[in-house]
Amino acid sequence: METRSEIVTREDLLLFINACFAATAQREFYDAPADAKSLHQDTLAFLHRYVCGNYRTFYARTLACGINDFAKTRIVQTLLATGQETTPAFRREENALLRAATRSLPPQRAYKLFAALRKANINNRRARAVVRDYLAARPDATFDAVKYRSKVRAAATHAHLRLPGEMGAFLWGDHAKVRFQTPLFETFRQARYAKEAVFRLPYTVAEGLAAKHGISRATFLTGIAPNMTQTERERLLRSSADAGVALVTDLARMPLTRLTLYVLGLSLTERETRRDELETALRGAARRAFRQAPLALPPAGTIAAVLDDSYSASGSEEKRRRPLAIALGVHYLLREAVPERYKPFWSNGTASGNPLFVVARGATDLATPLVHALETHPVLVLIVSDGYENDPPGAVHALVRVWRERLDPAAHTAFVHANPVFAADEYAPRPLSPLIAALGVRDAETLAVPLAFARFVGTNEFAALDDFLRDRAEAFTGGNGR
Amino acid sequence: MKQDTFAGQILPGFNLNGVQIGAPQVCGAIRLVPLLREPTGVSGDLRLALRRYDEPVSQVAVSEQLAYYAYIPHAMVIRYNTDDTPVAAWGGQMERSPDGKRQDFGFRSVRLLERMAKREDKNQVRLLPLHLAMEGFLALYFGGPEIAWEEYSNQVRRTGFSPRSESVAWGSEIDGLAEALRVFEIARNQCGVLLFVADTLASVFLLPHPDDYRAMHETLLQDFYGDLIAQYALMYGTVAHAVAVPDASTVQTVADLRTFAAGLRADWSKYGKTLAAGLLESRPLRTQTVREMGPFRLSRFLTDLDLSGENHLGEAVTRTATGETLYAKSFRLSASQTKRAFFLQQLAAADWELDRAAANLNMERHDLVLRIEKAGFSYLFTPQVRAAARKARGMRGDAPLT
Repeated sequence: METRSEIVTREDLLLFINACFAATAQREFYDAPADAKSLHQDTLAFLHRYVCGNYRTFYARTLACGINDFAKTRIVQTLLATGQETTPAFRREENALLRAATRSLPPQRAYKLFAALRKANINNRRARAVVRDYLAARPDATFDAVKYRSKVRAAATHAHLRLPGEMGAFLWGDHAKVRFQTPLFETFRQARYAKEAVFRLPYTVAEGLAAKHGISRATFLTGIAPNMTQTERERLLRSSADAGVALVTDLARMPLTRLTLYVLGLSLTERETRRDELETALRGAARRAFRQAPLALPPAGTIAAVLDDSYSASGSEEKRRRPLAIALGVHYLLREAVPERYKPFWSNGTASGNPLFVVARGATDLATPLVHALETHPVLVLIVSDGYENDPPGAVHALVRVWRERLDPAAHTAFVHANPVFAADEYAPRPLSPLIAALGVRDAETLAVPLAFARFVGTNEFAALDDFLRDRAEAFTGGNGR
Repeated sequence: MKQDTFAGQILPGFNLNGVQIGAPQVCGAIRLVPLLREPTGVSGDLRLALRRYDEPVSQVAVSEQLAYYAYIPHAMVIRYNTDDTPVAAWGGQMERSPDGKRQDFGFRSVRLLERMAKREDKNQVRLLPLHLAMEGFLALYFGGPEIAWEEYSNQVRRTGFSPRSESVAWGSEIDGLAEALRVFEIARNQCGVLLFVADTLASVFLLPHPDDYRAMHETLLQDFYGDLIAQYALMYGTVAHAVAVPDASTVQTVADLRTFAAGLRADWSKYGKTLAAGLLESRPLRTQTVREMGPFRLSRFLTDLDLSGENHLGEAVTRTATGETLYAKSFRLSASQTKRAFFLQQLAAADWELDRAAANLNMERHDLVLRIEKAGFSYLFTPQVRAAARKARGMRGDAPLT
């Protein structure tokens, strides 16, 4: 039996974890343009301070829960800023979590975090140790020094680090005065005046230098293609085609949500022309995602998905079409996970019935697809929607209530609401109904993680949540915390 | 001179046959209720298109001697077929139609348009939205008293009520309307919208076809509304949160769920209708036909000027045979605007005889003079009449009316 404080703790934690999945401080569809940024920043600042101050242990263990990178950097920064509040018993685990978390961030975010530490004037022994360990653990430190030069320099300065080899001379020295032994440093030094050296540098560094040398975009892209990372290649697919360069990229290697975003960015005619290619790529990505993060689905019975493709799923300028992309990704994921038992129900759907041609249009009508889903007597109903229902409003709540009370008192059907959009004025992803667990989702391929939290919502299993977080933290740090 | 500009047919109410009222979407103080038509109910033989003008200011020549300047960012073009076949889709030629002349003043150019509803082609009429209705309102008894009773001032006896002015608020002045229109999700069969500000009906906007509505949804921001509406938008930040409470006892089996969901929609539809009762309830509408267009009729309408309730003004295109409304746009009159029209109507009904009008209203003559003056028509009466009315009520002869 949970005590009152345990109930409150559990609810607060679940609220915070949902916010960490869904919130990125970017404007959403229903945010008014003027005050969106400050509203999100204020809300998230409050949430982080609140949870850090009241539940520090859980706050640190949240790092292990597969939350998005924005939340991870925030948590690391807050923990480093409030280091004196750590209890001595937890200190080792917290340090291990910090180390593992920074290592799991993409490098540009990690360096940006260190720059934020400098800006916030956080410079204690632990912060310096985190920066030192991060740089020491980098697989290729010279590559980082070239690609993220200014950031590495800022981090090293702030943390008073002594860097090995020629890195010190490279970052702070005068390049005109010394010739480097390390090949990459030497290439960088030569690229200032020699055109062919530019093509041996990483893409982001070479781009600015190419503009300086006046190399045409087409020549540049063709030459630099081998040095681009997979993500950069995907990002430049469209603009390089405009410049007349066909970048070869394997769509099948793209992660699921990034692939659905790409597909939704294509016009309908283009999707029709490349239909088979896109289908195979999407199914391959879904299969890969399902293998890496298996969903804990009920073993038998129909699994119905109610997917929202209304106009609000078109997101905002900063997050274009993201809610729709996540819905499409979840569709493909479930189709590959449980092909014979899965039934999709879109709120508008396409005339042809093929979700590849879905477009964010129309009012949010979740009542019709939900009724059709319930008629198949499913064992799980997964609703992917931003929570703003208006055709008619409150229909999901009314239908679920009537289903639970009159047609399914034994609760054979479970309802889960996956919400990719963070409503800043509600401090959480907007729920459709108090009877349905609303979970923030970061993207389609990590759906398994929020689903794992679904079973703690509305139940009184605080101890189970505690154990769950402890296990996740231990797995994340590789047992180093004990 | 035809004095009563709404002297045509009196309809028993606003005809919404064939139109269903959908569930509202709320953003701040603005509630937008979609008006839907079933695909089978859309005949397509009358369509409206948007024509944008590069010059925002236009001069409209209403008659030989009368013209006015206005901010007209766009006009609507009505195209219709007389033989029940759907109107063909139109492409870019809409933008190129020469519609009036352009006059360039150097710092600004002005478009010269003729008439508010101008026939351009055999089956095509160009319409300046709401101008028809507003012109009808301003021209109501514009000529002034037909009999030169001595109570009336020289000015009015000679030139009538000129100048007659009313104020309106532009859509861009309505706080929150731009945001509400931006986040509004246009429903599948949506052909129109009821715009509520602080839960009062600001405007009805109905079009014949869903594609027409999609094209014109954003123009709601460039139209004009009653200035009462702008005040309400500033005064109220949110509207009452409405929740449908359905009756769950009707659901016995899974098959009943569909009827249950349909019942929810019906509840919201009824709610929308109740909110718009000021216009949509059975209230006599005074109409005036402006133009007959084959099987269709373009007319303007005015509610019966009930001083204690809402009053609306507007224009509509109806199918003459059935009375079905294809296009409609309305404007909410404020209380003072209603009062002005009401008093004009009462005076005209009494043949402009002041004592008779006062008797019809169960008022003293002096009270009527003071009330008409307060409504904004102080220039109607001679100074002697106004001073006598004040003295009779214990005020000084030149006291201001508060």
